[in-house]
Amino acid sequence: MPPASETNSQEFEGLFTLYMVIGGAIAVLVLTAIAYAVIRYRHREGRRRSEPRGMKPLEAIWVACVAGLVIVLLVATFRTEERVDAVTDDPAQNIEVLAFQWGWRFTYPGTGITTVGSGARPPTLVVPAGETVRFDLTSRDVIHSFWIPELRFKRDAFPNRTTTFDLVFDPGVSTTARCAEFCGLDHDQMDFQVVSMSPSDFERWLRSHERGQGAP
Amino acid sequence: MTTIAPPMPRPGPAEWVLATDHKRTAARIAVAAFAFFIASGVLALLMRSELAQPGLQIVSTDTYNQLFTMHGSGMIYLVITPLALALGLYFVPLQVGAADVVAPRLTAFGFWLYLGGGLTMYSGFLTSTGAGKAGWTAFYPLSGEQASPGPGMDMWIVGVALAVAGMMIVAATILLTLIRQRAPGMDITRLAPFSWSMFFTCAMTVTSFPVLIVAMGLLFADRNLGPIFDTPGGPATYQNLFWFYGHPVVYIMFFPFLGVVADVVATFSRRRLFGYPFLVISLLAFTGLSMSVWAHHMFATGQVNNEYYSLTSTALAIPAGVEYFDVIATMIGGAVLLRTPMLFALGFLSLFLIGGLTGIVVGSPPLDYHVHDTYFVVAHFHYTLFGGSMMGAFAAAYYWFPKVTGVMLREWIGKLQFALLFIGVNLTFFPMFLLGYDGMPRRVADYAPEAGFTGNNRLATIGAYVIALGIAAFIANLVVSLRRREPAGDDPWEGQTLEWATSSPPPRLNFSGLPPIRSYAPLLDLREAREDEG
Amino acid sequence: MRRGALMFGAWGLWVGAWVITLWIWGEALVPLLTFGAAAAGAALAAGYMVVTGGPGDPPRTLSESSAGPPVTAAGVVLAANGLAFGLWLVLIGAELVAFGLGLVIAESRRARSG
Repeated sequence: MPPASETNSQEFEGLFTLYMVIGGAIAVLVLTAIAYAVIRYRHREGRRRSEPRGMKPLEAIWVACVAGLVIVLLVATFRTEERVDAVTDDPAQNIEVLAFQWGWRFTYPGTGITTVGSGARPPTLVVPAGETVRFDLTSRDVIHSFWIPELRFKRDAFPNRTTTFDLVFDPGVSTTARCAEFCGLDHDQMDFQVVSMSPSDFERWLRSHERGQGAP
Repeated sequence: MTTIAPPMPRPGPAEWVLATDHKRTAARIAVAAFAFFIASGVLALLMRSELAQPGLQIVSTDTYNQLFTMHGSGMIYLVITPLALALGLYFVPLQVGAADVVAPRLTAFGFWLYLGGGLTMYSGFLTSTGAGKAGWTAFYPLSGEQASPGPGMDMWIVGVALAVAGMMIVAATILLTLIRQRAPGMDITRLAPFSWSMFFTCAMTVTSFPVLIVAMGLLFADRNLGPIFDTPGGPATYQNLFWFYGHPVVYIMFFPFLGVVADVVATFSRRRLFGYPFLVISLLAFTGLSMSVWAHHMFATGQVNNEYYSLTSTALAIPAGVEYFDVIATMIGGAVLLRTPMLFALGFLSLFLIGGLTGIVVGSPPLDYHVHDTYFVVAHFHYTLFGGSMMGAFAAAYYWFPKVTGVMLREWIGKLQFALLFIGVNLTFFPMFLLGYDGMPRRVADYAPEAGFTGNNRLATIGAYVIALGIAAFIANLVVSLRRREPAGDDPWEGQTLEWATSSPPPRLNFSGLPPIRSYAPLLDLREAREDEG
Repeated sequence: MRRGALMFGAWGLWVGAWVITLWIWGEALVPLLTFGAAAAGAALAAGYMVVTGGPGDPPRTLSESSAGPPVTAAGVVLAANGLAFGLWLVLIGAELVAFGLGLVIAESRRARSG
């Protein structure tokens, strides 16, 4: 499987636009039909009820159109999902994520670097830009969800199992990320920061932190 | 046609408790459900008041977590499901020409289980640890005894199981009534659209509700006896069990109101429903397919076959399209009267449309990866449940209140209520689409001032108070209409189906005589025959 | 009555078609079991009604009022709460259930003989 060339947010925006355009068109069409029916066929004295011709064939055409749109949406969805869910054989960087009540721990395997934080001192997830980053996500207690809104992506973190996914980050990312699965009392205090750097800056960051431990 | 029958005596307190007439049981359910609706609505107003601006002003986080749990639990387990089934319990026997429902005492038993379950759930507020606070979904391990200790959570589990069991019993008797108690001539192909919607609603209920009861039993056992879900696959298994009920239930909360809307639109367009056979087939297809989509709630877990559930969820658009076409085509060529029931029916059609289309959006896994568990989803399901089901419920209220009580509700207050609710629903829930897209998760008591969520939250809170005004208008209408009574007669709307062929309210055994039944609109047939003669 | 049961059976078969599709496509055991049970349950219940059914139920005696349902239900609710609060409450509930069922049985006997 080739590495993801588009970031998840680009995949998302493309598909979301398709859904919004089709959904919007259907909404306008149906609301117009309702308005037309209510206004043109409102009750007036002396009006005879009649069934307009061609309604049955029109229904057949309508159903065929809806079915066609369903197929278009499904094909687009399946194609996008295949790319988004793809997990490459050799990512540029591995990061282990542990979610817990109520914070996050990021571990960079093989370097001894661990970042922990919660609540008022959120941890920062440092990532290289433009490369495939492999995440191995798990939870220490209840179900949490690792959500980076700017990337338009989330995955649930389950206890006693690891969920694996790949992400590609744009350069210059500096954004707030959150827990998105209700996990108890301080679920709304589980923010973390995500910062991307060029691969060479990232290498330098790794090496400078390899000696030190756990600086958030 | 006026039926000469003595009016039903006003029930004394003993009769409220002991009567087995299906109409009394249905009235009990409706009154209890409305009371729970007000309670859940108050919880929502507290939540919206808290969220109007950043910082915790009104409640603590722990209390807030109980509020949203009980609001969602109340609305789903105790309000809309029972209201939907109560409508069926009252009107299905009437629409099929039966004297009562199959097993009336068992049906009454189901009501009392539901009431007991609801009171049990709410009693959690009186315990030291508070009411259930793991969301209406109670995912494991959050709902386990380590993360949610205390009797309040146990009572929530017990209460939910009881309420769901009670409603399952009611649905089973309605289904059996439809199969076994139809009057002679009321062939299954002559059911009113509402009765068809109840048929398939009850099919979904009897096949999905038992799974929830099992899930609650297992959850209770896990908390109190020994590990059941405490395995690597356990939490996902719980979700599969829960959502197998949790998805059909939202359709159970929708289809009866779609059925009412179909009846109302036909009546107030002075026409037969267009495409009746297609509507029936699409109801069968839609509800059956609804049983297959449940794990679209689990796309972000990575533990289910996303493509299958995305396929079945998106395919739902096809039967939905048939239903919309048939209802709108009924108006075309008709003579549309914009009385209050029809206004609420039109509100249902336009608001549910937005809910349904955004449902197709969240049915796409790559899109759901962003909006799942955010206010986008909250907006989606409130458009379907409030803009859809509740507007449909008010259509049913204005349409059928005259039949149940013999008295008309005031038109002008009804129109005012409609305007307030239509504006309120859009003002409250549309900003939530934007909030979710912009990054606000669900089930949070607070948010950071710099997150940019404040403006839309303020709009939503204002909208919630507009909704509250709309509900107040409805209560005012009930009070005024029952005080200064405007008699309705048997058939104030020139209805088409059998419930209008008897007195308002109907006598104990529903009918003193039945008109000939040769189609699904027997009264319309009669009226047209008389017009042709005269 | 057969046609009504047939519609329920048709619904069950349609659900069954989607169960088979999911089974082929691949899914875990528990969801397949609940899904399969729903389809099979509907189809079997419908089949039973079609095979045994006739033109509907004979005329029956309807009760006016009964204390059986509220009493039995109160017993079930108390017993269920007893699972959280203790055996004493389960026993009280069980007694009410027995009493309530007794009321219903007595009523049915009276209706049949009277």
